[in-house]
Amino acid sequence: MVSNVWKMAETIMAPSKTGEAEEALQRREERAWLDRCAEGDERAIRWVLNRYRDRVVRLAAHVLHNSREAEDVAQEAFVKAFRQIGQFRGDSGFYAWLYRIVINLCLDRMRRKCMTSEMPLEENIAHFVAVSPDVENRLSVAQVLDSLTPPMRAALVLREVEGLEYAEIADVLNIPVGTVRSRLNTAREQFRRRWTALEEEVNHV
Amino acid sequence: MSDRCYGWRMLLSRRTDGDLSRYEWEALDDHLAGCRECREAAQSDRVLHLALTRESFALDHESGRRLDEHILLALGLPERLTLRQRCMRRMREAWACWESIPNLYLTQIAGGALCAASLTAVFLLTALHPIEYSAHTGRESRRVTATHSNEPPVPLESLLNRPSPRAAFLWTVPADPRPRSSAEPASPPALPAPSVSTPPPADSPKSQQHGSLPGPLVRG
Repeated sequence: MVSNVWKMAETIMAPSKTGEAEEALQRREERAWLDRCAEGDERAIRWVLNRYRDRVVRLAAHVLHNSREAEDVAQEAFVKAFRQIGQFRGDSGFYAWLYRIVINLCLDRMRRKCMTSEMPLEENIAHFVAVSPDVENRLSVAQVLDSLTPPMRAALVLREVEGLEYAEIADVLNIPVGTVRSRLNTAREQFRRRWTALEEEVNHV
Repeated sequence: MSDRCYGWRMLLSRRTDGDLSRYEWEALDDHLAGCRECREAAQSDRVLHLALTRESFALDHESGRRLDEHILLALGLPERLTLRQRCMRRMREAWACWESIPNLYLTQIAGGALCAASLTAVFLLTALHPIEYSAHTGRESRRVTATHSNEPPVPLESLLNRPSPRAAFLWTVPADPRPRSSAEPASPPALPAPSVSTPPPADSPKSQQHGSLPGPLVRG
């Protein structure tokens, strides 16, 4: 059975030639738009915003757990990115470069304000369109996630939500791949302990 | 967590990310079959994954649009341009688009020749085409004579003599070159009948100049 699962996983993970060609085409198109952004073309800027706005806000919201802060960070990140877009060489993907700006801004903001989990979470969630109906479960998960340190949370969000590979996370966070691996393991281990403790507490009550 | 399980937890985390080799995957499955703590840890990993992926924050449309406007405003966009500047920019863009056509001169020459030939052909064909006026309704009806193969070929003169406005304009010479004026009466006033049978002299310059005036009276 394990071998069957393994074969299935290999089939799914195998890169197809069509997919690679489409990816290369998209990268070229994106590069053309980014070049026009460097010239201050409004249409190109709108194209980039339309493509990355939701992802950037979602990333910031996951890391900060505050909608208003997330929008502020997204705005700051985009303005910074468009002003410094001439420095983007295209060695890595644009999203990795943009995510790095977002994560750095989030970490700076959290360091500066020393944000805690005491913020009114319900108000933050109400600002977004919530997908899951089980609000209580989400709140408890959010509470445990908030207790993780920002770098741990950033690594978890980049992996679990954004689906980045280890090398891409290392590029975004500017750390070695081995550190990404151990950081993800530590974050999951911390989550496991706190989640188990919370469950036991709820069962006692 | 026992110390001996530390390595397995590391593998568990990597399995969530799909980073295990086949050998490691199988070894981890064997370990999970015999270790309750690690099975619970795997369950916790699933909870974390589901919570993170399910908790998908999505910005609503209005907030997204507002955020875009704030970003563009911070970047100094859209530029405040006058109407003249906008027109100039549009013209520059149109010119750049025109210049980006490959083999521009050949395209220009070919396009011009094609347009000239088309216009000439259309002009001549419409001039030669006969137009008939229906006797019953008075409405203009066009008849294509070339499609009626049973009919004898129509000579060009008869085609041109038919009442086609463009053919008349091109090919026919007006019979009466005198210009018509609206002030002119529809029918000239009737000449009075000559009182004497003697006709007026034919070469009278006065009668030639004023055809509408009565002829000279003969006394007698």
